[in-house]
Amino acid sequence: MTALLPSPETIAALVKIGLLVGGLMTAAAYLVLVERWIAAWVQDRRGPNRVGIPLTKIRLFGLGQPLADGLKIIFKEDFTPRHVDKVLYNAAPLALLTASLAIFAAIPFGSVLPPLNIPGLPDPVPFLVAPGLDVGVLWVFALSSIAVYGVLLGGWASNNKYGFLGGLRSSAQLVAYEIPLGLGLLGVVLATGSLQLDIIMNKQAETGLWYVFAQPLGFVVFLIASFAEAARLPFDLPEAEQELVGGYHTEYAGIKLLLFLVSEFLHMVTAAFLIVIMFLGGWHFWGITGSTQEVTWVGAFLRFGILSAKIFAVILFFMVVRWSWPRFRFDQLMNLAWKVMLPLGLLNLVVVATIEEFRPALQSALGNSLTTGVAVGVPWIIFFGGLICAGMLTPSSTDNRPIRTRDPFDQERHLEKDEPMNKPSSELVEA
Amino acid sequence: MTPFVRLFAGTGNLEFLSPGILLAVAVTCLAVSLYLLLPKSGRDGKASRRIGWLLGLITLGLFIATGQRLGNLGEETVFLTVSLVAVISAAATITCRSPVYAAIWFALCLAGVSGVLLVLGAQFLGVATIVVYAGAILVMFLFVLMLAQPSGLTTSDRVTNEPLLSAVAGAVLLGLLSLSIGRLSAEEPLCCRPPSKAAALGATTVEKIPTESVNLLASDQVARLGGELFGHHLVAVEAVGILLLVALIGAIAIVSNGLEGSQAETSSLQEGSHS
Amino acid sequence: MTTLILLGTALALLQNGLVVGAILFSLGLIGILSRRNLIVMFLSAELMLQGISVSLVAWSRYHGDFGGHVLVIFVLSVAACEAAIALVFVLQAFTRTGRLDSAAWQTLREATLDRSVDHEIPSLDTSTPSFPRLTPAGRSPDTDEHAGMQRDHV
Repeated sequence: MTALLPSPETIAALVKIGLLVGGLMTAAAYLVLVERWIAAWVQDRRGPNRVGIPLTKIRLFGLGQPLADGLKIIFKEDFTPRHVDKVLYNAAPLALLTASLAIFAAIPFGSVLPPLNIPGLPDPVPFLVAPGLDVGVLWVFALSSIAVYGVLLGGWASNNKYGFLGGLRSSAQLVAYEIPLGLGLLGVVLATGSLQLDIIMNKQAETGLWYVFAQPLGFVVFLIASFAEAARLPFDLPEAEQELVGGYHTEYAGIKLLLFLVSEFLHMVTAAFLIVIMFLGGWHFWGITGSTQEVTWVGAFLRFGILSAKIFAVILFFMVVRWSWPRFRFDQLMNLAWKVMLPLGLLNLVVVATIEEFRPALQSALGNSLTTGVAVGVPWIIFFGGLICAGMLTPSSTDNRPIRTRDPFDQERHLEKDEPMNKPSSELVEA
Repeated sequence: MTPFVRLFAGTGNLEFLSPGILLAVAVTCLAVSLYLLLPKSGRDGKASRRIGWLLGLITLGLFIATGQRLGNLGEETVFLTVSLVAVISAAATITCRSPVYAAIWFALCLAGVSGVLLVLGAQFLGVATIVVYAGAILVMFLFVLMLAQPSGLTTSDRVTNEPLLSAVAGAVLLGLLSLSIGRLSAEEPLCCRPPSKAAALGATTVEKIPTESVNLLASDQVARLGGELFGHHLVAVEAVGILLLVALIGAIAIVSNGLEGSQAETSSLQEGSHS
Repeated sequence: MTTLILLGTALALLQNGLVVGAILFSLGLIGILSRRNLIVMFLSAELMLQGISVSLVAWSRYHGDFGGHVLVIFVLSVAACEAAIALVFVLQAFTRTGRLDSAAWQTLREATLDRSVDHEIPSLDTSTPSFPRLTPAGRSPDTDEHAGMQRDHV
C-alpha cells in the first residue's frame, strides 16, 4: 500500500501548485483593480474607490471591487448563441486557461527554501513546480504557442466576423513576434549555457551583472516582443475594442468570458515573470540578498519578496504603457516585427555569441575587471548604434491609404521603378 | 501496447488463442473499422460510424491486451494514456469530414506524440515538436479557414478514393509491422545493432545497454544532445540549414511566379477538372 | 539477473514505442491514400512523419545514444521545408482551380488510366442554419462610392 501513498515530492509539488494557482488567481483579480486605478490616475479621474465591506460604510479604497466583479460575472447568464460551433466554443476558453496556467510549471517564483530535512524530499526545496525540467524556456514557448489556439478557435467557433478577425489578427501577430521573442531569449540562454530559468537567475546572482546591463539590445527586443505576445495595448489588435467590439471574445459571456480575461492577465504576468527572471536578475539585489544557494528563512522570503516587487514594477510599467500609447496599425505592427525587431534580435545574438566566444581569451589578456568592462561596453555601443540605424532606415511615418491607380497584384512594376508600395496616392496620381 | 510479443513466446494473456488468428482478427477489425469511418458518398450513417469506432476500439483493446508490460505501473499508465490520445486523434484526423476539425485533431495528436516522446526520455524533442508544429498547424488551420468553402463541406471532403482498398492496405501494413516488431526479442538484441558500435563498446556487452539508457536520461540531456548535434553532425546541420533557406526562397519564388500564370492556365485546367 | 530484467523492460519500451509509431504511420498512409482534400492529405503525410519520429526515439532510448534524437531533429527541419513548399503548392492549386480537391488535377494522370468520375455525389445538406437578424433601422444611407475608395486624410 505504501506504493500508492504520494511521495513527499508529490506532496511538495501539489502544495506548490496550490499556492501558485491560488496566488495567481488572486493576483489577476487585484491586478484588474490596479489597472483601473492606474487608468484613473492617467486620465485624472478617481477610479473605483467605493466597494469595501458590504453592509457597512467602510470603503477600504475600493479593495472589495474584484470580489464584487467576480461574483457578478460568475452569476451572469452563461449564454451560448445558437450559431456557434458548440464544442470548440466551449473548449477554447478552457484550452487557453489551461495553457496559460501550465506555463508556470517551469517558471520559478523565488529562490530556494532552507533545508527542511524531510526524508524523501531532496533539499533544498526550490520555489518551482517542476524542478529539473531540462527544457524550461522551451516549455514556456511551447505552451504559449498552444495558447494561440484558444484565441483562434474561440474567434472561429463564435461564427462572428469580429471574433474571427480578432482570432486571425492574434495568430498573425503571435507567429510574427515569437521570432524576436526567441532571439532575445537565445542571447540569455547562450550567455548562461542553460535553458532552466532558475539557473539563469542563479548565474545573474553569482556575477551580480543582470543581463539587462550585459545585453541591452536583447532586453529591448524581448520587452517589445513580450508586449506583443501578451497583446497589451500598443499591440492589442486582437481585441481592439474600437474596431472589433471585443475581438475574439465578442460572443462570449459569463464565466467563459471570465476565463478569457483571466488568461489574458496571466499572459501579462507570465511576460513580467520572464522579463524579471531573464533580464532583471530575478530574486537578486545587490547587498540585500546573498548570491548563493544557502539561505536562511528570512533570506528565502526576502528573495521571494524582491522577485515579487520587481514583477509588480514591470506589471505597473505594462499598465502605464497601456494608457499612454495609441495602438499600432496592423501593417506597422508587421513592419516592426520583421524589419526592425528581427534584425535587431539577430544583431544581439551575434554580439553575445562573439563576446562569449572570445571571453576566455580576453580574460587571459586583460584580466577580469577589464573583460567585464568590454563585455558590458561593447553591447551598449552596439545597442545605440542599432537603435540609430533602425531609426534612420525605417520610415518615421507610413501611409495606409489604398492605392487604386494600379493593379494590386502588379508587383513587378513597383519593383522595376524601385518605388515603395505605400506611397501616398496623391503622388502616384501625379506620377 | 506491444502486440503478439508474448504470443509468439507462448506466454501471453490470451494464450488460448493462436497468435495468427489474433493477428488476423486485429487486422480485419482495423480494416473494417477504418472503412466504415472514412467518408463515403452518402452511405455512411451514424450507425455505421458508431460500429466503426467500436471496431477500432476493439482493435486497440487487442493491441493493449496482447502487449508487453512495461513493469512500472506509473510509467505504463502515462504511456498508455498519451499513446491512446495520439492514436485515437490520429484516426480522427484522417476520418473526420471537416478539414478544420482534421487540423484540430492533428494538433491533439501532436500533443499525444510529444507525450510519448517525453515518456521515451526525449525531453527536448517532445517540447520542440510542439514548438515547431504549433506554428505550422496554426498556419495550416488558417489556410483551411481561408480556402475552405464557407457553405458547408465540399464534395471532395465527403468522398474518398477507394476507402476499402486503402484501409486494407494500411491495416495489412500495420499487421506486418507488428509481426516484425513482435519478433524482436531480448535473446538476440545485437541483431539490429551496427557491429562497429558493438565492437567499440567492447564486444558482447549486452549489459551495457541499460546503464547507457540511464545516462540518456541524465539531467544535462539537452546539452549533450547539442554537443552530439553540433559535434558529430555539424555538416548535416549546415546542410539542413541550407535546405531551409532553399525551401524558403523556393516558396517565395513559386508564389510570385504563380500569381501571374494563374489566370492563363485557369481556363484550360478547369475544362479537365469537372468530374 | 537484474540486468536481464532491465533489458526486458527496455525491450518492452522499445516495442511499445515502435507499435505506436507503426500505428501512426499506417493511419497516415491510409489518410494519404484515400482522402482527397489537399490539406488533409498534407496532414496525413505529417502523421507518417510523426510515426517515424516516435520509432526513431524509441530506438534511441533502447540503444542509449543520441542518434535517433539527432535524426528526429533533421526530420523536423525537413518537415518544416516540406510544409513551406507544400502549402505554396496547395495555395497555387487553389488559385488555379478554386478547389482543394486532388481530383481537380487528374489531367496529370498517366495516359493509360481512365479518368475517375464521382458516380454518387452525396446529397447536400440543404437545411440553412438560422442566424439572428437585426431589425433594419431607418432607410439605408446613400453611399458615396468615391469617398469609400479614397480617404482624404489618414
